[in-house]
Amino acid sequence: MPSYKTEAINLRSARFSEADKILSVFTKERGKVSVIAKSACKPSSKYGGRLEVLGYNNLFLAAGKNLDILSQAETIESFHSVREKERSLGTGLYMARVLYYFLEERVPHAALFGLFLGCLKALKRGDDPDSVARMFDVRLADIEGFLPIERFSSELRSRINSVQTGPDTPRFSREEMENIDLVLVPGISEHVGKDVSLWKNM
Amino acid sequence: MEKHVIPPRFSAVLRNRSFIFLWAAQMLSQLADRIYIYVLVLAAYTLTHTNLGVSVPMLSFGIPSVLFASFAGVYVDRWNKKYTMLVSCLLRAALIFLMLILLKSSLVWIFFVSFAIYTIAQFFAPAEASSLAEIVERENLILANSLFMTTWMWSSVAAFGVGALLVSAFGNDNTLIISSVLYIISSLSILFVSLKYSVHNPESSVRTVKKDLLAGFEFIRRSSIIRHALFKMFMITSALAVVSMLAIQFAEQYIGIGAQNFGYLVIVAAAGMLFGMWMLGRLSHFFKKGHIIFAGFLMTGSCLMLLSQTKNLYLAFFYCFVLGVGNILINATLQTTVAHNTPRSLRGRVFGIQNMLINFAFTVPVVLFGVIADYFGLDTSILLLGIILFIPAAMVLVDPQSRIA
Repeated sequence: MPSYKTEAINLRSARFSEADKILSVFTKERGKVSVIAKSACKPSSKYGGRLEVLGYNNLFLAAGKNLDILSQAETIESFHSVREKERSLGTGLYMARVLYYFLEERVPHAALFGLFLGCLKALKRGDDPDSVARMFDVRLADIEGFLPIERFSSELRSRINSVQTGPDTPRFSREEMENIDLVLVPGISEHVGKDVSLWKNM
Repeated sequence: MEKHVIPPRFSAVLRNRSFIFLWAAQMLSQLADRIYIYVLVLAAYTLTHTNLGVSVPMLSFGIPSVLFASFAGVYVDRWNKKYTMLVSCLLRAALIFLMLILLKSSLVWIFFVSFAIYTIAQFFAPAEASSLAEIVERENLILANSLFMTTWMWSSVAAFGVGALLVSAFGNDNTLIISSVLYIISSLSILFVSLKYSVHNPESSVRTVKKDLLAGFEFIRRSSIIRHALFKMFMITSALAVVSMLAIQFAEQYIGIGAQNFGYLVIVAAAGMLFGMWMLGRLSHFFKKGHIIFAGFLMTGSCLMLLSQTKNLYLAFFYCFVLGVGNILINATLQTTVAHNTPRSLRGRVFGIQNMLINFAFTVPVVLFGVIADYFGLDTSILLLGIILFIPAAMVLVDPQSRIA
């Protein structure tokens, strides 16, 4: 059974049998991968809190037929502060859910991995969670080639364009956020097969 | 991401170097393909002297396009699209050279080599459609699609004439060599296309083709925009395939120009496509895509209903012209809708499935309407076809989801 090491962000975690966990992780090199972590639910588990959703780890995995088997996890960044605040947790979970449904199994997507990590870092930095969620939507649609930029108002368009290369997320007004949601939510909902507007904070 | 939103312009599309090379590649490969078909049908007839013999190469074109088009899309998503197109052209060129030896031998060999050529051809169309969406600015894609479709039609029409000229001037063998050389020039043209984005997928060996294909179908199932667009595309393609089939009888019995001159009706429709392309350039900035498609279906449906009742040559030409206009308005807009609403990682599969549907539209509906025309008459079948085309238009009024595509 070939084993490999990869950077991964946890998208979803569910209990499996008595002591195991099944995780869905977004890896940098292999895209979305389903992983089984044996004995992860035992109190004496070696993984500790590393398998929480939004955790960013170095994973050591053995490739399986359907599920890869986790043997070791090392924290790169825990994003503990993101999970502590209700609003940033909401945005983090929103992005994780969208990606969980959007990504195909084992299709690498370096650009989306970078986007997700960048947005989590923005949340950790304390950027406005609602604006981060909208920036995530815009960038996701842009990377995947379905961003209807012509449907945004000209001010919003130039604002989005001007901050594309900047380090910070722009703080969108409520009106701008509504404009972004109006244009992008139906498209993203179609692509993930769920109504994503129900997952947002606003 | 685009910095400004400007009205779509042909000049902007034609200034795009990659687009020009891709466009040239499409025209050359289309021309090569049709010339090859011409020689093959002729060779099959010379070998067998039967209509059944002629249908053998036809089957070798039809079967791979229905069976393998969707699978080809899976590989298009996995592979580099530029090299997929390039290799597809080069392999077809090589197989046509091989056909030079087999042309006089046996119909079975002709069938198998043609089958291989058209299986390889299935990789070209989805790779080309996906690449087009990458190299043309979003706002200009509708015009780029209309240019592609119009020249596709024109090279198809022209190629049969060119094929006849080449065969009479140089003979079958040399015409096949010309077809092969056209494929090679087409591949050279592809070499100069620069793609901004190409999926590199080192994990593809782990995933199965079936799983990937199902993901493509699942995307279409849950995306109502794509579902509606593909349904409408199937409807309009079926209608035009049926009209092309009925045109022979129509030319002879209704407008009295003789069955051998039905090509004039096709040429008029192709001229309508050119006009439609120009019109689309004007309309696309002012109207929503859904409205253009709605108008296109109303126009095409009404035109077919009127065509079924006419025996006047000039009116028939006018209606064919309008059919060409309607076709380009609907098809170019739908193709753009599909590209705009499909994630780039899935475009190959969606275009592959679309290709399969389009090829299917050339088979079953054509046979069905052939039977209807034999039983109920030509005018009834064209009238029925016109009425059927009102269904997608009516859907727009009833179902809001259908309005988007």
